[in-house]
Amino acid sequence: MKSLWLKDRPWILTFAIVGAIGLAVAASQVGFMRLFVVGPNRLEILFYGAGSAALLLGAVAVLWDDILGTREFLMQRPISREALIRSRMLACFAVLASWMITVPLASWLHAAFWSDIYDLRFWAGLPEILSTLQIVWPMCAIGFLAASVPSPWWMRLVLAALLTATVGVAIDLGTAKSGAEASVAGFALACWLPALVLFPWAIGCNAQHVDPDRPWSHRTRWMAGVVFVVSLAYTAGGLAREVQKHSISSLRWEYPRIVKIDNAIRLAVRGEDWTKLVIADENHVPVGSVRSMAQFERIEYRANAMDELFQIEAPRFSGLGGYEARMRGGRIWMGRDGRAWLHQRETGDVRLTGVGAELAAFPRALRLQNVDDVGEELNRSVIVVGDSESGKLWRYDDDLGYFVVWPLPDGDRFEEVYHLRLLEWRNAVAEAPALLSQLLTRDEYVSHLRGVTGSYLVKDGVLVAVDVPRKRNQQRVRTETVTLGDDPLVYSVEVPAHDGLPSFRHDFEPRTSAEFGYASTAMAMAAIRPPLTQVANHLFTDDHSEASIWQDRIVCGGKRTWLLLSGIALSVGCALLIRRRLRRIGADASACNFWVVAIVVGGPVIAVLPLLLESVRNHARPVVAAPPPPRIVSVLKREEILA
Amino acid sequence: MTAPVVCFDAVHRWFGAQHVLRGLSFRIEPGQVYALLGRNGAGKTTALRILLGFLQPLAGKATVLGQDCTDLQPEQRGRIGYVGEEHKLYPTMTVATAIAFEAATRPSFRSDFALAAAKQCGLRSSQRVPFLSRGQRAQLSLILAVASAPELLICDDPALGLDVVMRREFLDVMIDLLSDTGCSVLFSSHFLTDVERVADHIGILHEGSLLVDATLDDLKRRVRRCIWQPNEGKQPPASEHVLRVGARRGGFELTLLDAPEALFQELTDSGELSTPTAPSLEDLFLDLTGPAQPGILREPIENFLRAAGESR
Repeated sequence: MKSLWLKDRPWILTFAIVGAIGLAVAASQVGFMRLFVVGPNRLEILFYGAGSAALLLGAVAVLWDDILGTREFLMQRPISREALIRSRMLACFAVLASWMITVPLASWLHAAFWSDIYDLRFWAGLPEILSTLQIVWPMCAIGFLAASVPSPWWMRLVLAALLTATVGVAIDLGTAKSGAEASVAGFALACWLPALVLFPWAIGCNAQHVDPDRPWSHRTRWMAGVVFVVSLAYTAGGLAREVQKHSISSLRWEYPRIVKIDNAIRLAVRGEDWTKLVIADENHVPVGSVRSMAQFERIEYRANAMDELFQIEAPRFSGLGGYEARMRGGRIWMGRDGRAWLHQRETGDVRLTGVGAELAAFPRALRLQNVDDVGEELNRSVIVVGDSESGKLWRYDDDLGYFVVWPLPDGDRFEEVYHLRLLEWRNAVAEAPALLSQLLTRDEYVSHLRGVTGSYLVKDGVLVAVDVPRKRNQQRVRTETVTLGDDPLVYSVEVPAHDGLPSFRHDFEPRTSAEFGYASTAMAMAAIRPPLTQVANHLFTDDHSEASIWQDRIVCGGKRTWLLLSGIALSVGCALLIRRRLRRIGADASACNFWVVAIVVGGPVIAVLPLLLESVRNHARPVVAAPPPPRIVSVLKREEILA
Repeated sequence: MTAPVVCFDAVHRWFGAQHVLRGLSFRIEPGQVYALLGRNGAGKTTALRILLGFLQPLAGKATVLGQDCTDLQPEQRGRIGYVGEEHKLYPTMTVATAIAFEAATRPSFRSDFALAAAKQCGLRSSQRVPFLSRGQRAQLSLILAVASAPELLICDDPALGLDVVMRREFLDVMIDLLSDTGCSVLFSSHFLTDVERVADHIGILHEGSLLVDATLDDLKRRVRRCIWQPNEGKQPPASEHVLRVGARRGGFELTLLDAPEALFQELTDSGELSTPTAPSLEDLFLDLTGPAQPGILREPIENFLRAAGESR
């Protein structure tokens, strides 16, 4: 293996050195903390950059001899294919390990001994420091595998793209829920599991001799085909889910709102922009004039939960979701251990901050909140941390660079930070005009600090008691509504009689062309999802709260059997068409059966695979006749040969 | 009878719609130097790549050193030397590191022999591969292939791109290195004069099939060429022994195979016949595989080729 590394030395050294230099430059530019200890204000370039470099590394490791044109010069040696691939793989591991160890370690040592920016707590922080870089393992495995597959270049690219999407979906769904903190262990699992599958698969591909002029062997078709099918079904499921969610979201946006206006409950649809509404009839057709949204009181209702849209993004490890606050020139976030971190945007430095000059940790992870200062200076806010258990309140002091205790007037105990709409606030607060002059140009919400005995406003850096009735909080409770049905597309909302108004009920279902368009798109996505999971959804799933890659809220819980059957019929139709084509080009029964089953189980999207993988050339069989004997032949005797 | 070093048994190989090898069959006995000749695209390189296990036959079977080529193990590969047509070496290496790399990856490699041979060829150990001339690279490739004492040396047009002097030097090195080793050699080449110097057995591939599989001596003995000036109105005899008939200044140039005395007598009786001579390998190659030229009658060989095509 040492000798094989001799020939591979150029790419090994290039990747190790260039990667280390890249990381070192990034660390020096944006700071060690921000690069390796991923905070809420994370730098995603490391996630994407290291992943892309690792993908390239894996591909170059396999294709190096093809690039140099020395593949046959190498392959004719008495070295097994397994030894060759093992040597390349270990070289890759060495490069990746060098990336994960050298620069982070050097940066950490620098930070520990030549800088006072970070109480490193090395062993506790180590998983976080190395965590983002773990993306290099699955990405390297993808590059390695895609380059190892004995297929045309475009098919290798397709495979790499598919697997990247699959791994991205797995990471996002498994560990990096958008906006929330990811678990290091979950992220590591989402990275390592694909790597542990893909590297051995690459070894298997190298051991196989797949020839474009031969059909795949039964074993190869099973080995590669199953992974292709699962990967494509997974990715297609993810995409279908996103399109479906987008369509449902658009449909909800298109549906009319239930509003109170002129002492009546009506339906209203959007005007030319989101600030305007128009009264609509039961068929969602506008019947009134365009009015400002401020003239309506909306009746909020909850149809059922919407998922966030999927995006591949770096996970957040060091911050708690929502436990961060903006400040001038940067932001502060709270770690789960109660330590607060200050990130300076300009310098990139991340420094420990905390309570008092000793930068002590907070009792536990507490929410950081921006409270608007309604004083003379515009757009000023104070970052506060309140602990409702102890009743303590802290304020971040810009000049001192740490938090100081901020007692509420008259020994009041802190309860919560809450926000009132400007309109409500103006009606509720007696001295509003005196305080309101600066607010008219600001957000329409006013932040308050609520104590046990009173409410407080921040004005020119000082807490000012205001008389906000405590029942105000209850008044914010929206009009009680009842949503009937758990379907994301079709449901009814009932508003009980209240305040002298009669009860109101509306059945939300597509009625306009735009609504039909969105609903049809959402249902079409259900039809292309894998029939196997759709049937399972239909028969066995009742949980409508969250859609996953495999779970479809449109057909789950016995809904829309006709749509389920249509999806199955579509898959069967595609499978029969593919079977016909495979037979025509001369594929054997095992190939036909494999793809028929794969399409029926995995959905119509899987039909793309046999079109790509089972070519006419694979199955072509020229007539092989006995050749004519050579015209001139010497029949040699043994003595003649030896002579 | 000894086992052949190389055995092709009705090997077929096609690339898409192109049928490159059409039932290729031949064998190489131990110690033979076998030259595989053919025009561009005849299938020579495909045959050699099948032998080395880089390609698989789609029908038929090829064995090397008794092992099926589709399942060559490292042990068998260690007994085969290979010189490719482009003499590819790792560009980051020097002559010395190339030899060291070879020694590390081939158990039977003789570093001393290789270093001595390189020195004899004027190659300095510190010379970097990218700065070697084409001829020097060819020599180094040959030294690397031969220094592991292979039982079979496979060379795919090793002299391609070399000038006359370098070609001659390359062949001399090859003859020197292989003399008395008992190594079998299979090589393809377009330089027929070189083939005549080195090979003792010739295979001529045409459109994927062997037209000739004979020793050089046998060819020279069995094939004869002569000029025949027929008496008025006479045409060349339609005999299976007439390989080719070409027009020549009112007469004909005949290429004859295994011509019996009776045929010579018939030609002498019906015209004036020059003394039959053995054609050069190049002439024979052209007769068998060259394109038709104006004024040359080719019916017999065309008939032969057509018959071969039909039987496929």
